[in-house]
Amino acid sequence: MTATSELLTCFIAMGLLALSYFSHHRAVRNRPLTDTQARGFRIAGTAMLALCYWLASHHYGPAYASVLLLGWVCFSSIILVILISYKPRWLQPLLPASALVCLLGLLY
Amino acid sequence: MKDSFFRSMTWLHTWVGLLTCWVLFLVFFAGTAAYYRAEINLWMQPENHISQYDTNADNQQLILKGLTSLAQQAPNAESWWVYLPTQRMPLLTYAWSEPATEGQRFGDYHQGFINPSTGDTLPKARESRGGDFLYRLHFDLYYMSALTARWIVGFCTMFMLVAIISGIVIHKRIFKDFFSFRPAKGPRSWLDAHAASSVLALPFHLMITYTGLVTLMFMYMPWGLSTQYGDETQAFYSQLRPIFNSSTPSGEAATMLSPQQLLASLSAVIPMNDETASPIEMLQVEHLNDANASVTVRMSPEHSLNQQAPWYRFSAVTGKLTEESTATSAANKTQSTMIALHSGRFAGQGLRLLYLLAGITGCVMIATGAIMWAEKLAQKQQKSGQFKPGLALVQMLNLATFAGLPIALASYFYANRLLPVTFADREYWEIQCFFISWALVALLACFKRDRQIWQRLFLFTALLYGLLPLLNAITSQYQLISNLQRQAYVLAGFDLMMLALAALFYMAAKRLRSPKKVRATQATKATTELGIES
Repeated sequence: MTATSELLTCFIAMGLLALSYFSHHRAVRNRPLTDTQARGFRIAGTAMLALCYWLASHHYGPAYASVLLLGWVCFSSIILVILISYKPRWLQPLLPASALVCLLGLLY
Repeated sequence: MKDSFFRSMTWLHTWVGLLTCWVLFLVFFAGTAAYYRAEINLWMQPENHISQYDTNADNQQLILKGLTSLAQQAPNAESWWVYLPTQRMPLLTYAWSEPATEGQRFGDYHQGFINPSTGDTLPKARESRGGDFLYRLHFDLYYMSALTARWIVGFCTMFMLVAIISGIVIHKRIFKDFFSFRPAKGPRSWLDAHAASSVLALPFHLMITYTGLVTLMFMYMPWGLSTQYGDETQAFYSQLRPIFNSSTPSGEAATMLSPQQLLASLSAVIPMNDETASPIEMLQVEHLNDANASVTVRMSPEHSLNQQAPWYRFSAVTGKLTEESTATSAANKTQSTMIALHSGRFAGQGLRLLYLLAGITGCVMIATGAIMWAEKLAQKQQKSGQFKPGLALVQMLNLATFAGLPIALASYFYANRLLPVTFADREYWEIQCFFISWALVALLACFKRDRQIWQRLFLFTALLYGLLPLLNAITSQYQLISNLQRQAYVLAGFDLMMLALAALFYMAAKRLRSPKKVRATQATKATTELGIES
């Protein structure tokens, strides 16, 4: 469960970073993105990515976690590219749902 | 200046990539499959499917079983090996090599398997190279000497590194287009697919290409080594990997310790069943029945990134510890870390799956790049009305390689199950089936290269992979469901992976439906919808 939570943290991080792009934000949320919001998404995404690395290094050690993080970034990005290209609206409920599952996984 | 530099880089990226893309696709394709080398080995020997990994197995008993089997079956061998079961290869493997005869560098190699949970010796498995063939294929190619192949692969890898770096330089919108893929937009979509597959797994592509060169660096750049060691290169390798420094036989006969005595000597030094210590990976006995007979025990490096696990060497005559691993230099650790990063040996199941995904992304990157080049040129030539043979050649190679290799791999798996077990040279013929089916697709590509043939070949590939679990169910005593029930996840995972590949190829075939058919389907849909509404 811990590994799934860590992977979901990475997915959320990449999802937030994707939402900081004007075109993707419009496709997902159907509303324009302000500069402040874009900066907010970028900061939140980066923070989540750092959290993901911290969790992974706690679990696997920093060396293994570095390789794993790159793999998760690649995997999450592929899922996001597919979602944004074909079903962008799905991302809106998927991100909070992932956050919930991730939180439950980390707590229990 | 900026414009000309950009153009130079674009030219470099295009030609460096195009000239080597087909060899690189083979290297990437076989290398990606080789991440599951042990799993493929197991799947391709259904006689061993009965074996299951037991986390509570007693290592001491397993080693004793292996050594006793060897003492009974090969008392006069040159060397013995015992490989302890792992989750990926849940078998106790014992192997031996005969003394080399005249003209031979190494003696003949034999192996047998023991089911670790029951202790039963398994019946002789069918001859098959399994995943080892794919592993070798990715750098030794086939039908040529290993040395020539390694030079070709090294040359292409160097080109790939240049293509990646020049690709980064020319991709101006690398961050702006990070999550972008615009489907159904012709060449634009091909460019997006190429850029996305390159950028999303860029760290992997860079790492795998660079470390690929590092694995054979002493072959590609031997001058540093020859300056320091001259003709005595063996001395360098002895320093680099002292575990392989086997003692020379004295020629004086001696009685070796019995397996039980040997085990008692080893367990006095090595923690055998300590869950906190690294487990034993392999045990090797060399120069049997000689006064210099030795036993080398290598521990498992597990998930350590530099893959340098401790090892011990004992005298097989006295049982005394004669040598053990010491701390290595930073340069040595760096090199072995790079090799481990390339081979993914340290990876657990999750990370291995990510390696596979990144490898597939690499294949997509190469294929989309070559297809995009052909598409653009075809459009240009259609506009100008001038047709050159170069385009036909590229289109032919594209179809033969990108559609042919997946079919060849599936044929290899089918040959493994359909060739009779007693078939003479079946190991050789399994591999020939791989190349024959690939050659057939290449032959087809000489005559037909349109969208329809791509679609049909992808559908055929989907069918081949989709039916593999069924073939396994017919030709092995276990099938997907029973493997899941008895928690044989390696075998169940193989079948599930084949189904996933089938789905992937089916989706690709569906997207490749000819535009006319797509339009017709859309029109029918629209008419139906209107009919319902009215």
